[in-house]
Amino acid sequence: MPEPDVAALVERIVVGARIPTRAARDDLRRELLTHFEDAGTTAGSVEFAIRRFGSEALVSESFRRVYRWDGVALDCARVAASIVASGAAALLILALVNLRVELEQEVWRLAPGFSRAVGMALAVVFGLVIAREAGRRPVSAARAALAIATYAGVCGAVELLFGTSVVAFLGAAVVVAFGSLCATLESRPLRWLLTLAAFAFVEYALHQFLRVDLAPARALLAGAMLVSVWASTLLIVARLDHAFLAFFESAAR
Amino acid sequence: MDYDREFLTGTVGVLLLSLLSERPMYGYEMVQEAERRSARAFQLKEGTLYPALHQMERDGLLKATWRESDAGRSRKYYSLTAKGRRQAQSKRRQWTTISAAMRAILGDVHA
Repeated sequence: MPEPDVAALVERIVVGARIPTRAARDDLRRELLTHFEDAGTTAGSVEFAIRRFGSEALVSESFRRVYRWDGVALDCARVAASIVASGAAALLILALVNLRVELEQEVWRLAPGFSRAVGMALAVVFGLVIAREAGRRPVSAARAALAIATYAGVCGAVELLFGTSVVAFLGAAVVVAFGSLCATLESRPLRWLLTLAAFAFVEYALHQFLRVDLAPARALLAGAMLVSVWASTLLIVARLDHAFLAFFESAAR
Repeated sequence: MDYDREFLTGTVGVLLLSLLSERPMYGYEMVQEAERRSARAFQLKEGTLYPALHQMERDGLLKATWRESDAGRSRKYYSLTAKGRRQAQSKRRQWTTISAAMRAILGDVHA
């Protein structure tokens, strides 16, 4: 009869435990391997030691419960960093696009629609980061519900403070939905072209809803700005995910 | 012997705190010690033991250190912290009171 693979069993438990730091994972791995060395020797056979250990799934689940708050804290920090960095990038993009320089009067000013565009862009950044968290694998209904509740809660809080957020947040939700749909397309040029068209359409429709005139060419420009914000947010979130993981892994050594 | 899981809920913590109030031990040593003292009536599932130890360590009841055993093997030893010692005393008192009450009730039933 072949020797059961204790190392593989231990690895599956450690992975299933979803412990966020490498030091704690290494510690658990070492502890369990030592346990099976002891139990295999004393109990007579490794098979018996494994049987006695109990259900692999239940053990992993128990460890997940022990370390769940570490994971939550790490996720909150990562999401907060993503929102702040992506928000800053969106502000920079909008400031550059909306900057008007009047050389004769030596005056620099921002275009009239700047503040509304900022509100919309920040809502899109927030919506996109939250949507990515909601859809993060393994997909969890609880996490998705929490993400939606967070989005609605922040929308409500901003509405209370500034009184004009609902339209921006609803528009951003539509932008995120369209953008996510377009992201499923295989062809990259088609994906970005459709994303631009969808965002321009949302901008146009929102202005119509608010009874503000917006020429189709201006709607296309506003859509292009949102595409830039969208792309920069995707890039920043992906980089931060990677950087956060690397930082915590190395800090925990 | 197999017990109803509900009977055992909450007993693992008392058992571990009691064992560790005597001396630092590693996981498998606790399993063996629990079996020996209960004449094999109480078989602690290792899969239950380790998450419980990690939870108690995070709660500040235990501290863990890797060191070599007498046999020269490196093992993770758990010992009680000051908070753990207070908890052990409190749990032991509670358990003594509850078990005395249960004995009295079960004794009355059998009488």
